[in-house]
Parts: sequence; C-alpha cells; structure tokens
Amino acid sequence: MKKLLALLLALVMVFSLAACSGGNDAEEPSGNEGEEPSGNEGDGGETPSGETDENGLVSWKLGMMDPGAWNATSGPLYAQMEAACEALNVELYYVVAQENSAEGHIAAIQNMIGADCDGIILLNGPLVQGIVQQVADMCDEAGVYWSLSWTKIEEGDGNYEACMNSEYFVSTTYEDDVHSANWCTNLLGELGCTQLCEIGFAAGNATGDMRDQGVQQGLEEYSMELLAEERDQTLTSTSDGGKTIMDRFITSYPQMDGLVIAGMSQFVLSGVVSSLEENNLQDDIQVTCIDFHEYQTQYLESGVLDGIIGGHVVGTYYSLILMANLMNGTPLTEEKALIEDNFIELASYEDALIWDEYGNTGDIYTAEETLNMMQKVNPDFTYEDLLAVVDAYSLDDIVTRAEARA
Amino acid sequence: MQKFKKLLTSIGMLVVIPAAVYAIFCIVRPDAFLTSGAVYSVFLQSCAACVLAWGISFSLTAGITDFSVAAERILGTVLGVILSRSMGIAGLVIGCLAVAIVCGVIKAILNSMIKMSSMVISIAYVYILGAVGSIVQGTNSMILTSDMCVLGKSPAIWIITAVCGLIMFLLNHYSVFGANCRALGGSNKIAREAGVSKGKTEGKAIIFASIFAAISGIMATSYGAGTVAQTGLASMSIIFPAIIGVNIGLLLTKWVDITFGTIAGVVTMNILGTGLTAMGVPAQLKDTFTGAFLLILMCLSSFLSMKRAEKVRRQASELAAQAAGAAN
Repeated sequence: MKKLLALLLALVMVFSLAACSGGNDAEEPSGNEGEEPSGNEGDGGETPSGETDENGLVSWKLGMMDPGAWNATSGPLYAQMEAACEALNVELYYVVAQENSAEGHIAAIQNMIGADCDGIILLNGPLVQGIVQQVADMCDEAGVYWSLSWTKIEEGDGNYEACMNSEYFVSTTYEDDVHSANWCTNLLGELGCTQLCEIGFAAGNATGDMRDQGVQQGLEEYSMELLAEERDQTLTSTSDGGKTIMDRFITSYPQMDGLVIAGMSQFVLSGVVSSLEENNLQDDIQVTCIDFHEYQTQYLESGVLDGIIGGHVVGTYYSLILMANLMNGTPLTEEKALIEDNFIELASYEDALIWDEYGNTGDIYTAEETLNMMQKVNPDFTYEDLLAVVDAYSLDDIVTRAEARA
Repeated sequence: MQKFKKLLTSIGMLVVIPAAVYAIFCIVRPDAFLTSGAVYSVFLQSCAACVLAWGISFSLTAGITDFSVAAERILGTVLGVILSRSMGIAGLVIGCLAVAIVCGVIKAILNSMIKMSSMVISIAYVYILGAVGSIVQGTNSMILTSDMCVLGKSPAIWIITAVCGLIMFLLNHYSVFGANCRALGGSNKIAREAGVSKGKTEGKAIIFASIFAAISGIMATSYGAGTVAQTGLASMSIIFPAIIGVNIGLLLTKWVDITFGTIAGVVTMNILGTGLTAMGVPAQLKDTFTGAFLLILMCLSSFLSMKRAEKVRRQASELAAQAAGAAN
C-alpha cells in the first residue's frame, strides 16, 4: 500500500509536469524521427526531412523551456512563438527546468535532446548559469541546432567563442540592457529626481550587471545619487516582498524621490505601488521599471508609474525564423547571426493603450507575415529583409502593420 | 514575588534581541530609526511572516520539515485572487482556505502512509503545487485592486495576527496537541511509549500549518496587492524567513512561550533587514550579515545553555556535598 502510494505520488508529479508542456506534446513528432537527415545547408549540415504542409514547409520539433507562470513578458513571448510555430509546421516542445541552476538547465536541455528535438531555442538561462559552452557541446554532440535569446555575447567573453565554434549554433538575439536601465534612470533624471533607490536582480546575473551599468550611467548623466538597493530574492520574488522593500526604503530614506526597478518588476511592482499609495507618496516618488507588467496601463494612468520599458518578446521569434529557414533547406544566412532587437518604451498612458491594443495580443507578427519570412514561401525574402524587420520593431511599427492589415 | 521576577525575566528575554538590534541601528541611523513610523513599519511587515511561522512551528517542533506550505500558500492565493474577481474579499478567503484544507488533509494522509523524510516528500509537493498554481493562474491577472486589500491593512491585519497568536498560544499552552508535538520533538520513542500517536499528531500539525499558511497568504496578498504563481522550487524562498523566526523562538523557549518568541524572531529579522537597507549595505553583503547574526545568536544560546547546565551541576554537587556532610 505504501509503495503504491509512493508510486502514485511520483506519477502525479510526472503528470503535473507533463501538464505544463505544450498542447500537443503527447503526439509523436511528425518530423525526422528515425530518418536520415537529408539537408546540409547549415553549418551543422543536418536538417529534418519530415512531412511537409500545404506551404511546403517541413515538419520539425523545437524545444524550449517551459515558460512557467504567465506574466506580461513571458506571456506574449510564448503566445507569439506558439502562433508562429503553428504557421511554420513546427511542433513546440516544452521542458521544465526542475531547478534554477546550471544543473537544472543542463538536465532540461538533455531532456529536449532526448525528446528528439531538431532545434532548441533558449532564453538567457545558459548565460545566467554560465553553461553556454556546455550547451554548445551537448547540441554539437547530438546534432541539434540551437539558438539563444535575451543573450548578448561579445568576442573574448568565452560565450562568444563557444557559440562561434559550435557547429550547430544558429543565432542569438539580445536587447541592449544597458540602454533599458539607462532609459529608466534618465527618465527619472528628466523628472527632476536626485535621490534614487533600486530594486534589481541578485548579484552574479549577467543581465543584471548590464542593467546596473545602465543605472550607473544615468546617475552620472543627471548627477543623481543611489541611496540604496535591494536584491534579496526572498523579497524580490513576491508582491508583499515588494511592499516590504518599498516600506523599508521610505522608512530609511525619507529624501528618496525616485525608484528604478531594474528587475523582478512582475513580482514587486504591485507591492511597490501599494506601499506608495498607502504612504500617499505617489506624487513624491517617481517610479520607472524594466519588463512589462500586467497592470502597467492602470499604473501609468494613475501616475504612480512614470515609465516602463519592455516588450522584448520577439527575439525568440526572430531566432525561430532563422532556424525554420535553415530546417527547410533555405538558410537566410550562412553566418551565425548575432541580432540586437529593440525594446518598446512606454512613457505615457497613451503609449500603454497602444501597446495593449496592438502589441499585447500574442500575434505581433501574424501567420501571414511569418510565412512571408520563409524563403520557401517567399523566395525574395533575404537576411537583410529580416534585419530590417528587426530594426523596425517599435510601437509605431506594430501599429502601422496592424492598421495595414485592418 | 518569584512569579513577578519570572515575568520580568520573560519580558526581558523577549525584547532583548530585537531591542538590542534596534538600538544598534538607532545609533547608526537615528534619523531613520528613532521614529514611531519605523517601529510601526517593522511590525506591519512582520504580521504575515509571524502567522506563517506560527503555522509551521508545531510541525517543526514535532520534527517535520515541510517546505511545501509556501507553494500551497501561493496556490491558495492564486485561486483566491481569481475567485475575488467575482466574489470579492470572500473569494480570496475561500480560495486560500479551501486549498489549505484540501492540501493539508491530503498531505496528512500521505504523511501517515509514506515513511520517508518529510523534507524529501515536501519537495515533491513543492513541484506539484507549483505546477498546479501555474496552470490555475493561466493568463489571469494576479493583482488585487486597492479595495480588495483590506485584510492586509490596519486594523484588519493586526486583528488577524492577534487572533492567530491567541489560537497559537492556547494550543501550545493548554492543548494535548501542543504537548504531543513537543513530546514527539523530544523523543519519538518515549512519546509513542507514552501513548502519543505519531501519525495523528503529525497530521494535525500539517493541517494546522496549512491553515495558518493560508491565513498568512491572505494577509500577504492583501498587503502586497497581488501574488504570482511560482514553479519549480522558487516558492521555497518564502518559507525561510519563517523558519528563522521559529528557530529564534525556539532559542527563547526557556524563558518565553514560542508564540512570543517567534514574534521576537520575525521582528528581529525585519529590523535587521530594514537596518541593513538603511545603512546602505551592498546587497551581496546583506546575506553575510544576516548569516553572521544568526550564527552569533546560536553560539550565544549554546553558551548560555552550557552556563546554565554548569550552574545546575554545581548546585547539585553542592547539595550532594551538604547531604554527605549532614550524614557524617
């Protein structure tokens, strides 16, 4: 009986994890399972040769990390990926990282490889956990194409070399995180703030380091002072933690007139706002933050939030376009692509309304637009065209394209 | 007179740690700490953590380490926030308590059947509850509007904390359940030989922890105006401040009831957190300071215990010598 119950518990756990996976995980891959790859257009040389759809696009399987709980950044990102995968005849396979550690990420990637994924697109996990080289080795050994997103690599940093030396590396997309934090800090400077506090990522986070650099630049540009910072993950991972942090800042630094949330906004912002409202300081302390939040429109309308930068939800999509073209034997470039994509800056309530209407829809790029980026469907589409699409990404671009469709 | 002296000692021991820490920060940053607002803020921050700490105190005393109450709390708040959209504050309360009761009962039943380390099983629960929380959340907004946050504001938050504290005190002092938990924590074998049912007592402690975690979830969600589902082991970070609070409370049990000792522990940690923020200590060093503080506290406690044992031994040998002298 006891053994049976232990087994039952283990099964429940397995099923709960399976429930987090994509909607069609249970299906057998329709791609190249068990078949010899036929293409060799990419550097790695092996592409799927599975069934093709009505557009002539070959079926293949893409592995990604499970997005976990929905938030205003991961939600639109994965919604866009799911929509694009459907259009491109790609089976999306989610794997949960059991723990937020190097080992957890490596195990998850091994699971993707074990599940016969033809390609893998990862966010900044490998960079944060310092396992880019290990990922390169694993993918090269298994013959699986891989891309990164939210990951800036530079010559000499080791990660760049790992990617460039990997036979199966396709691309990385990244945003200028120095710019994002700098934009937030400068906005506070323009609003007349002089004494700031910061909420950020825990130490050792590569993205956090870049954002800190941006904050520092802003402080120098506007001669502002950073009074205190909070990075304690036991606080920054909950909304009540956010309120505690803000209460502590208010208690300790009555002169504080600005707050930069350079990380964990999705968790802490509502608590920060609650604290400001309770202390009736919403007009005295200006707040800017990175990463979109589900209540940003309301906060911008009430004036408790002064600016938010985010919308970096399409980098993985660009990686997918590159990989899908490669899988279909029509690579857009023979080079390993390093693409910088844009943030969306919301400095007013009106901006937020525009984002809500046109950007926060899960299909910033429609199925038709996605198919048009495939050389098999649109032979005239080039790598330069893709770079133009990336470069154009902005609030104006989203609105223009949406209105053209309408 | 003896009773009065004991009461004074208890009060002294209760306030000595938080007061000492507070005094240090008053010296360093008097402008920030010598204000009623600072004290109020620290106590307000401590309410939800105190209730969570009380909840897990019986389990910890009985020897059960259950990390999953935090994941359970998050799942409850996720459901509660969704229900609050249609049912208002009642929805939040119902969601949290319903999850607590269901999870608590299931965990209690499984605990009596699976003979395995509670810590290991609780990690499995954390994964399951985290995944379920994420599924339940879906794309629902997890933010509470200001009018829904009444239970996290004064006076409601004080009243809830006081009532929970009273229940905790009564159960710990006057109930068989409280005594059984202490007996199990002291020695499993002796407790069982004395007729204490391990399964039932642990089961009750697990359900009690679940319910108090749900109450703390209601308070924390109302206090911070929202919640977010957390997958994997991310939710575990919530439980550690409460465990630290209980452990400081346990250190003080020689002098004060664990109910009050836990308050002292949680409040002390919040004073420390606020103080380190006020001092502008770099984030990387805060954990070092907190760890060092806990180590000093443990060492001090061990030292005092040794002193006390030595005093008892000395008194006993003196008595024995006197008795031997009288016999001669």
